[in-house]
Amino acid sequence: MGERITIDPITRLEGHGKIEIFLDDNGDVKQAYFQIPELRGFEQFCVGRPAEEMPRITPRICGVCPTAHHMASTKTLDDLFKVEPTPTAKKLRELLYNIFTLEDHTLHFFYLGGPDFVVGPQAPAGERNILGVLGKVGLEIGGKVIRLRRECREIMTKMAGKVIHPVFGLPGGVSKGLTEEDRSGIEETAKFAVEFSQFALQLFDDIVLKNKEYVDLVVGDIYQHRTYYMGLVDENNKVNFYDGDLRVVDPNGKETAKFKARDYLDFISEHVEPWSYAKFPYLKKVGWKGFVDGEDSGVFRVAPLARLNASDGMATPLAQVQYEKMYETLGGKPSHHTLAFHWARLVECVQAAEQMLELAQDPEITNPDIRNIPTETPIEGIGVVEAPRGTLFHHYKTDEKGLITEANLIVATVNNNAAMCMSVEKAAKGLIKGGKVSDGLLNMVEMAFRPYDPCHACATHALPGEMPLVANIYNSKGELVETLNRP
Amino acid sequence: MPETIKTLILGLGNTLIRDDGVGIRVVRELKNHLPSSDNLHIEESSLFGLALIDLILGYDRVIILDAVKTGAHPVGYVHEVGVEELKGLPAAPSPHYTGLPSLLRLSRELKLDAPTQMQVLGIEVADPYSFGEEFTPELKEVFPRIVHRILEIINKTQSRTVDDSVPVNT
Repeated sequence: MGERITIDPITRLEGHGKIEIFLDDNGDVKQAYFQIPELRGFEQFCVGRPAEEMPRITPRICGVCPTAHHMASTKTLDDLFKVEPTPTAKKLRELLYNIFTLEDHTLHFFYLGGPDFVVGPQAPAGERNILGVLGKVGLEIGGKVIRLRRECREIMTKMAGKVIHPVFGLPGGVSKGLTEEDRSGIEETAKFAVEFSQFALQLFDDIVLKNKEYVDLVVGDIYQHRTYYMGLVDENNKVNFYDGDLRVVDPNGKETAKFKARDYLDFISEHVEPWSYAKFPYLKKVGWKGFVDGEDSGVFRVAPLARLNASDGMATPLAQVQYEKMYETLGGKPSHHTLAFHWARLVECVQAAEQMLELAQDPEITNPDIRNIPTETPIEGIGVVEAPRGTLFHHYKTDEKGLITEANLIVATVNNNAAMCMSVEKAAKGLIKGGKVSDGLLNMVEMAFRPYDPCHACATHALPGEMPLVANIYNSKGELVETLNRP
Repeated sequence: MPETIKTLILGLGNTLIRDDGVGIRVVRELKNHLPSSDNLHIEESSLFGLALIDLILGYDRVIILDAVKTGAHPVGYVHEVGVEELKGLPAAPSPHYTGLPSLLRLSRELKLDAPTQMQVLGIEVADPYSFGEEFTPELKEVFPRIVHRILEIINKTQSRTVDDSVPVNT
């Protein structure tokens, strides 16, 4: 080929996935920051557009979780136009949403969480990837992961249009129903999914839980934070991805709040730091006390383990069995072990697969009554879903014609922002002593934030290389003393 | 060039984020210059990471167009990058960043029909971070030249034999 050039990925992704570590006079870690990027100008971009466009615009913010944005936006329109979806429309939305959750979670485990455990945290960086996983579990499993993913995506495309350009949710319903032929195809995939999701947990059991070294790592102090937890629950306080009330439990597992999405501003505030565009949501009634653990600190966590902690159980039987087993092994509920987010993710896969099957077998799912037409004048709407990465809020205000005047999103990665910084800092403190930086720092730090699966929005699709990570280390005078790049 | 080589020209990016959509806008232009045939497909996508696997399987050669901001070159400069040069960062912190090298290795391990030749054309841009459907003035000005340059590169690549073109090291 022509000219050989090196693109410095850090330059391309300025401010993205950047870790800043500040040392004290003794060379120990004083503070560490993990910066997540924020795209500029989203609100201005939305102002003046018809609210009905939002479920088509927001999935295009980034391609990581388009279905979560589409659904949060659709629910916000229900609220905005004061219209309830028909029972079948609600079930169709839940069906699509469970398929999306299942696909995203499965992928996350095998591609991302998996390498740390299945291949081993001490394995060379070059082996800690999906290929290393396949080397250990066999190619057949890889084929199954790819098959499940492909079938899920095909169903989603059939139901909702292109994954990144969904044209499914409408205020009061959905755009397209399900034929009997589609339904039976979904049922077949769902059966495979139920089987596969349980198999994945068996794999976790065999490879992780039977290995003392891994279990010690999961329950070790370096990956532990006593925080509040938040997640959506149904009327029985069971985990729900699509709908329900938001429930918050304290670090002892006691319910401290339960509220509707509409009231989120009474419960959640956002702290601002000068070094970060992204804000730091916290529990308003507990207050912001800094990046610290405990009952007195308003820091809360979202995403799989947080959802399980905030619930009284799973909504489906096979997932419930796995839920009980997980807490029994981890020494009770709530669990504060960050690495157990990976485990909780697999438990959620089982629920998503079971609900997919349940909905595919629901006699009402092919009913053509899929839309209630809104008649009210819009003013303000708020909607919430549990994205795979945690609670996702959309909030729009409009004029009487339904044109957006204000738009605010609180995305899952931002909800976990404070906790991620704390996790990174704790890992850094464990690995930097007296100015000496351990070689394994970056990987250990990565393991600390990977369970949250932070979504780096625009950083992702820009260049189809790998996501870079850089850690800058500053001495007590604020001078840059070392920059670590992975690998 | 043997007739049987199937080529995909794939524009990536997000047209809602200013210059980030340049790869997509370029392939839309290319469609006016390069007639699509059974052996040449021109597509656009806002997907990335593992999802790209759905798009690239079944082709022998894939040329990807995407936005890049290095700051080291003028806006509109076209970087020609072989896939092996994207390597070197093996453990991505998200599956969505699963890069092309891993994607290709994975496809081969799983015996999927992965391309044997791959090239990325990175287009230097000014602002791939802000929401907006318009390019920055700097990019807008040089856009016709970018299309011209990319056509040149593609024609050059098309006229080479398989053995000479960019191999994919796995």
